[in-house]
Amino acid sequence: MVKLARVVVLSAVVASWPVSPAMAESLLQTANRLAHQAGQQMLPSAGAELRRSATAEQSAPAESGMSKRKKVLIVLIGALGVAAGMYAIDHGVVDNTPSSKGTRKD
Amino acid sequence: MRELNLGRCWSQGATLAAVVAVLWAPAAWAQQNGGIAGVVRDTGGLAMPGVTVEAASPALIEKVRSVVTDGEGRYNVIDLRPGTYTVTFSLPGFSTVRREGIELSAGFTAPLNINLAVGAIAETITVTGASPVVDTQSVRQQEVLSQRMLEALPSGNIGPQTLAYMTPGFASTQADVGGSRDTWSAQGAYTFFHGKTGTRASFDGFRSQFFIGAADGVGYVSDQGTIQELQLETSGMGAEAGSGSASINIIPKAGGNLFSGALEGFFSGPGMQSSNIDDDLRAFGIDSSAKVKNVYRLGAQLGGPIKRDKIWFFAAVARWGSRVNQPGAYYNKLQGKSGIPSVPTIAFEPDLDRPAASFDWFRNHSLRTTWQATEKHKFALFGDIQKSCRCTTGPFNGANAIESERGWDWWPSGVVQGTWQAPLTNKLLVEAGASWQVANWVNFAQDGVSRDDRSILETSTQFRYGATAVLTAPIARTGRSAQRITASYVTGSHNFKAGVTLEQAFNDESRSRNNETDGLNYDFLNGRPLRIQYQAEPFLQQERQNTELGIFLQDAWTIKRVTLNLGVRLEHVSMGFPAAKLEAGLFVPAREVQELKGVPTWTDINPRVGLAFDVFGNGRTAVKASVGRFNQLSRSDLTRRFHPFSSSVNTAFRNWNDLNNNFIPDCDLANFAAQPECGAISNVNFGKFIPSATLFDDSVTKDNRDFLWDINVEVEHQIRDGLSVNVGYNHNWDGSFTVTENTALGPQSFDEFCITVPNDPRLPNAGQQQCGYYDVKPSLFGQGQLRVTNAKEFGQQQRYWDGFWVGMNGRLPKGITVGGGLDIGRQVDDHCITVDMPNQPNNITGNPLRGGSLAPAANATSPFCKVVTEWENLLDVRLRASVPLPWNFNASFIYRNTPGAPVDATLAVTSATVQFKDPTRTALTTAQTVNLYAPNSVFGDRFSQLDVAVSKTFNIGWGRLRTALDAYNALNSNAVQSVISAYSTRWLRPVNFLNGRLIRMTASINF
Repeated sequence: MVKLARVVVLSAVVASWPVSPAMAESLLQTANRLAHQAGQQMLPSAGAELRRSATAEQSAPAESGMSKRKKVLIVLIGALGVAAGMYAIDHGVVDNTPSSKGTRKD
Repeated sequence: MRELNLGRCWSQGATLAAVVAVLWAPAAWAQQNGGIAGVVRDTGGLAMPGVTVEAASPALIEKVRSVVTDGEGRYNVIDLRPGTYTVTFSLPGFSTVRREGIELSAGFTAPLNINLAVGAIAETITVTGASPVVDTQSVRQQEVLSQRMLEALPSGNIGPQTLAYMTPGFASTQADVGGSRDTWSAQGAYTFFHGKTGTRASFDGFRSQFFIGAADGVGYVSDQGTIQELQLETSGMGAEAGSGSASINIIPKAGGNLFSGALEGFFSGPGMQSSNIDDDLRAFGIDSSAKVKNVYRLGAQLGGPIKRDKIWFFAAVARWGSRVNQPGAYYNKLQGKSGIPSVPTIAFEPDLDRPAASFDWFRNHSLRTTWQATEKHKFALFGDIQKSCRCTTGPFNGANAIESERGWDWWPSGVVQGTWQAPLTNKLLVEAGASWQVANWVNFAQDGVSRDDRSILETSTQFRYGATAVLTAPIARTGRSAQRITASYVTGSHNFKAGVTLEQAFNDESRSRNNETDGLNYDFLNGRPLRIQYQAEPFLQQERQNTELGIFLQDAWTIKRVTLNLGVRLEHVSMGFPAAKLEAGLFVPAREVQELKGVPTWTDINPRVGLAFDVFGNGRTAVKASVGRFNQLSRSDLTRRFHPFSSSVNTAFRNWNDLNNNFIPDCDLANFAAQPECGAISNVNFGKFIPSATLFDDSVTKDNRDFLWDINVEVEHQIRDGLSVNVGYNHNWDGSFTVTENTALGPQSFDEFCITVPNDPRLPNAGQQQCGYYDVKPSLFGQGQLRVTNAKEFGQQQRYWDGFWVGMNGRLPKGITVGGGLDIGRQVDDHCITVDMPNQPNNITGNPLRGGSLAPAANATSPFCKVVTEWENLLDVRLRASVPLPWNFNASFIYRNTPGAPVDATLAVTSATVQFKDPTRTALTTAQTVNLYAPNSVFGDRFSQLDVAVSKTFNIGWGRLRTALDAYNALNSNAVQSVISAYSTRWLRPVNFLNGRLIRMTASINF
């Protein structure tokens, strides 16, 4: 039980460690920027404005200032951390299923 | 200064919540999507045709949807996924009006009327205000839980049941305290809304339930990390709704244009639970409550663009599970210690050093991609593969020995879904989709149970031990596939929709006993052998739903302030089974069936009409009325019953008089004639392969599919910005019942007998003689042929419900959200018709209806054939709220106060304890268990549960960290949910009572 608790907590820490501040724009920053942009100039076309508004948050990753290679690396490390956490949990619970034991007959 | 800070906190919180809500835009099928509709007028009040109306949201991968007002100034934007919308109204020569912050939840059409003033189009007037909360066009009665609420409320494990759990009117089933209930049974706890059976559960609009007999449990266990919103429709559903009396739908997340993700989890452990044992429980010998060993979850999600504006993805993985020691549940100290090789276990004695636990774990892995192929064509593909273990089924609660439990090996299981949506013009929308789902759930025995062990039922207490009664093994797989295509044509006044839905399903299910030698189970009475229970082995049951076709037409037609909801749905279902062979067994010959299709074949026309009236034309008050006919959920129980392997007599019993007390039936077990130790077999057809052993009337195979009429009247009023209340009345009734008769029997084939009610002051008629019970004449015991037919052949069987409710729903200022209400009703279940036995029809499976006997034979009875559940026993109150607090704290709660558990009393009777009215008759054909009073007439104390949560969100620059402390069952109630109904020393002993207060830590990192 305690073991499983440790596994869950440790997994959370391991999996979250690689996430970089530069990975994405701050949510608060995004919100402020959206609000700022919405209050900007009157646009000649309402549709164009709507499109711009709806896509405003798209620019966040590109503006994060991080190289693509670094982003990919961080995602990979994060994924590995999550996978390690899941693996640890899988091996922390009792698995007496026939499919795991190789005794299924269907 | 302080106020300013607080205001900023709330403002930031609200902004954060809004942004996070749109980062993971949900995928959604049109039926579950929302819309915006209204009228555009000039400042003089004249209708304005030709105004361009554009609805934009980051929730839309296509970003903007646009329509043009018609000649009456009306517009109608449909198929808008849940999210926050900005709507712009523009026409040359007039100022553009921009309305922000329209929050759409699933299935909600927001009324939005606008006035345009003369001016330059470049001049934009931004209008702000509370989002509408009264849907003045739809008559659908529905509830929605947004992602924000799902995150804020103390919801335990989130699944399709979560919304039913919070909705007044859903029958109380076993409660869940913080996810300590096993996930599979918890996710299937959504039946009986206002007495109606057959709630449809779906994932992204595709039905996600088992196809096994009459069961409607989930066949796809969803990961809460994939859930964007939950939508529940309880009545007034349109013609696009398929079979089922109510509908719960999971709307999944779908990624977005911004990379975002989450890592989340929760945990509860042994030191985080309170004991709720009191003297009342101790009086029953219960000295411990359920003890959580662990309830845990770890989930991760990542979504974002593969190509901006073109392809989005959303991936999720999760692990969760629980282990909970059950009250008074221990392993059997005497398991395998009888010293008798053929019956290794003959008695049960709790091993107090080995408490027994319910136990499960789940592993899900899913990926969704959304592709905006062209401006008008969008595709989505979703897949989830899962391996799980429902390691103790039941769910295990200690009512029986842990050794009588079985596990489910849930592998491989999962779902694959694909959809296509195309707004071909601003009036025409075409959608299509397909889904495939499979679940393997092969059973396995508990640790410590050998394959020589047998399942033993102690009939005096209904306590089972030794081994599971049946194993669904080695084959247990079920699945369903579905296809759909619809077209919507929308003008300002009409929202016309037509479509076709198709579903297919299969079930392959073998059944075996734990004992591998002869497959016999035993019944004991007070520890002594009573009966031998036979089962035909080997056994394999297969059913196929070849077609469930639905064709529907519907229109929402707005005339001034009235919207008529008109629809009709054709339902056609056809089932059958494939060819199969079974080898001979110990008691049965080899069997073979050819493929069969068309049993049943049912075609129904279901009209559904409704009217919604915007009373004052301001979108704040609506009067709604609807009436509709709905078919019972398609399911395999009739085909299952019809299958020759099944319609042959597969189970039977014989009395066992263990003359030499050796616990071994000293008989020729394959000789079904009476012998010194063994009575005659209970059915002379057992052991034979007789495909026609059970006859099926055309009235059930070709006609008379179960159906339901549902009438609803409701007033909904917005009492202030963001908050609405509704008051309503519901009447529903079932049509078409199926019964089983024995062609050799009639009412004259039975002898009435009486019992003496135990002299217990807690029982009505204590100490008095009570009659109205029947037993078949001995000469007819085991005789005859069964015939399944429609109940109307014998009389009028009824089930109906009348009820009222008051509900509220809303978003108040400062982010406060509230929901819930009060529901009260009365149900009558009247099956006082005589098929064979007086006033005791048997259902499709040949078992007595509720109020009848619990005996293993169909020849048992009770005089209580009209079961009335009165108003006071169907009063249901449920409330929920979430309140943002200063410094990014949030508090929330869910409160339920529902009827107490029905308290029944049944008595095991033998020849020695009954008195026949015919003085020449002295003995029962077999022991029976009878009701001592009418079911649902006595209820225990009301059930109440309060769950609370306090969370704090930290802005950590690159994301947010949310921590929460949930207290489930915060009042530490030990409300009883079910009791032992068998009258004995254990009568009224709680079987299920609420787990003690449980503290759960939750944390999530969103970025």
